Amino acid sequence: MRRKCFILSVIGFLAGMLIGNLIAWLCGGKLVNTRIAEWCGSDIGAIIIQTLLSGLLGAIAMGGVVIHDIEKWSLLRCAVVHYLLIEISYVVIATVLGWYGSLTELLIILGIQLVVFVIIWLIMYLRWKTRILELNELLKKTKSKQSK
Amino acid sequence: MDEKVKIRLETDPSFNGTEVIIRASNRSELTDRLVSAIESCNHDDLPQIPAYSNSVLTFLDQRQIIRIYTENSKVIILTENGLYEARQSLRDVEKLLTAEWLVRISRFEIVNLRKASGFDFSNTGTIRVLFQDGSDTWVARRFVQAIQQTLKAGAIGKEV
Repeated sequence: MRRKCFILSVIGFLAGMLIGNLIAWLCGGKLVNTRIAEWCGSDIGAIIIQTLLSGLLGAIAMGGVVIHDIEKWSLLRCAVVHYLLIEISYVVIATVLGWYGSLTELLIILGIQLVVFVIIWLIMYLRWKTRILELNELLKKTKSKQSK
Repeated sequence: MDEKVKIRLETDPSFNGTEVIIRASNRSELTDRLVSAIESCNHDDLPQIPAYSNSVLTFLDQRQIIRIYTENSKVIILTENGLYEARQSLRDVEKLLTAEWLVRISRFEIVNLRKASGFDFSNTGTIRVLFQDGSDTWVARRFVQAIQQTLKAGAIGKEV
């Protein structure tokens, strides 16, 4: 589990670095976040901070996937904990990097992320439900063969 | 317990089959253990599992086992006749099991699919296996595929 978490975190870090800079470039029209650049006094410093924090968010989101491997936890508990882990990290990093303009904007982003999470959870839930129904059918079939 | 057992082998070409007679002044823990050991030899295709009940060693028939699970670092074997404790790790007990219908359902548990009455999926997404005696236990998602394969192979219907 630790090994899987490490590998996923590294992948997430790399993807986060790329996506974070891409979003900054697409939203602001340039790679450097002006707010961060002003704060640290140089464009290179701003890019480094933005890259590291975006990577950290990616690492937390991807590494957190291992939460779903906790055997004793229900599907819902895994999803809620993973969602909260991502959202808390997102709010902190997005605030530092200035990824949102107002509280309303932040709430809309969090709302969209929640909808995406709920849809993913529902798909997973229905897939498992179908699988358990199949398992019951199989058990019934085998038992009826056994009793013949 | 220091009592020594005299073993005598009698061969008789006119005798059909094999017979074992245990002769003792009365029934004791030793005679019970001897009976269990001989029974175990007799069913070597489905070896019996050594387990303890009140510090008395007993050999359990794999057919009787309902669940084998870890609880407070102990390996507990639940059978139709009651609870027993295995003085080995769950992994070591698993190595002794030859019945295909005894399957792993989590890191902490092995169950007898022949004793299962069904599976349940809760609203929060927990998988449970229900037993004929009314008890139930949770199943780890990563073991579902192995359970499915065991059932598909029809292993629980095979007589061993």
